[in-house]
Amino acid sequence: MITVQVQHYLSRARDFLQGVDLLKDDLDEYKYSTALLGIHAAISYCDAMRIGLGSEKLSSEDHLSAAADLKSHLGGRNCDADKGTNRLQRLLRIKSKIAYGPYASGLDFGRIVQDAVRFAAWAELAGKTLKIEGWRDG
Amino acid sequence: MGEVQELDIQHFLGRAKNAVQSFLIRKLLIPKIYLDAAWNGWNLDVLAIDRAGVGDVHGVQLVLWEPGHSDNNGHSSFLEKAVSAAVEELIGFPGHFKYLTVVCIEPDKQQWIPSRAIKNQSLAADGVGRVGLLYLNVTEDDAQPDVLLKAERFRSSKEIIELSDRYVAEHTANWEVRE
Repeated sequence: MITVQVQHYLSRARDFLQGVDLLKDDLDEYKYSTALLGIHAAISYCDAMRIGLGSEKLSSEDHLSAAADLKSHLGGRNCDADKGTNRLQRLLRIKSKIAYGPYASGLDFGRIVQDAVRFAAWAELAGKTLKIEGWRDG
Repeated sequence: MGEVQELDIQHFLGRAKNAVQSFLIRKLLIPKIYLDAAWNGWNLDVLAIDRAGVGDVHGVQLVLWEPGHSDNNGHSSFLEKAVSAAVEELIGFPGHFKYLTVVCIEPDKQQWIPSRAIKNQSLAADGVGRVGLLYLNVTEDDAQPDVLLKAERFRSSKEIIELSDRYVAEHTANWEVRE
């Protein structure tokens, strides 16, 4: 059952990331969409990891606490946890600003996309290192 | 022909590797890409392992369309034989996606058209997987591969996964998502 759930969130994450890949060459034109897709990819990677590491229930409401939950599951494990979770927190903090903020002042969309892609690379590797069930088959 | 030979063919092949690398960067999600990779006895011009090195393995070999052989409106019996031999060899390569890239080094040459026989030969014996065919004219200013035959995924195996883990651990990628 865990394998199915992990693969569900993983396929969602990769789908969002594929969207980022398609849009990022036109970042000036589609900056909000690209950034939000990147953040949603990160959230789905986070959910896949949490489920695979033993979280029993995921909430769609509070993403920042999801990052904290992921961090607690990664504690003491050999996967460069801070690098991943710090980047995730940074992405989650600006999610509402991108989706609902009145203007984009101060947002570096290139940096947001870069963070999302780097978080994805970290998550892919961490999932494998931690031998999360279903990770490599997803 | 003479003019082409005066230029270094290695430069053309180098451009081809770079162009194929760009193609794979666009096509894949978060690949690690290696040039001139020795993969379990196979010499690959370009090797890509997707998903930061934990995903599907893509291997590419180049086939040079040597000038000077008689061609007929995009058909070439010389190239046909060269590609056929390369497909036969590459089909055994342990990876998920396999591509041959025909590299043309003559300006304004008509694109090669693969025969039905080559297309059939590109399929795995059990139909699961097909060698992809790309075409690239490296004399163009912005050389980009055209897909002549879309690659289809071959079966995975424990061997492929173990090989990719070992390869990633032992080699530095030419291109990857870096910190």
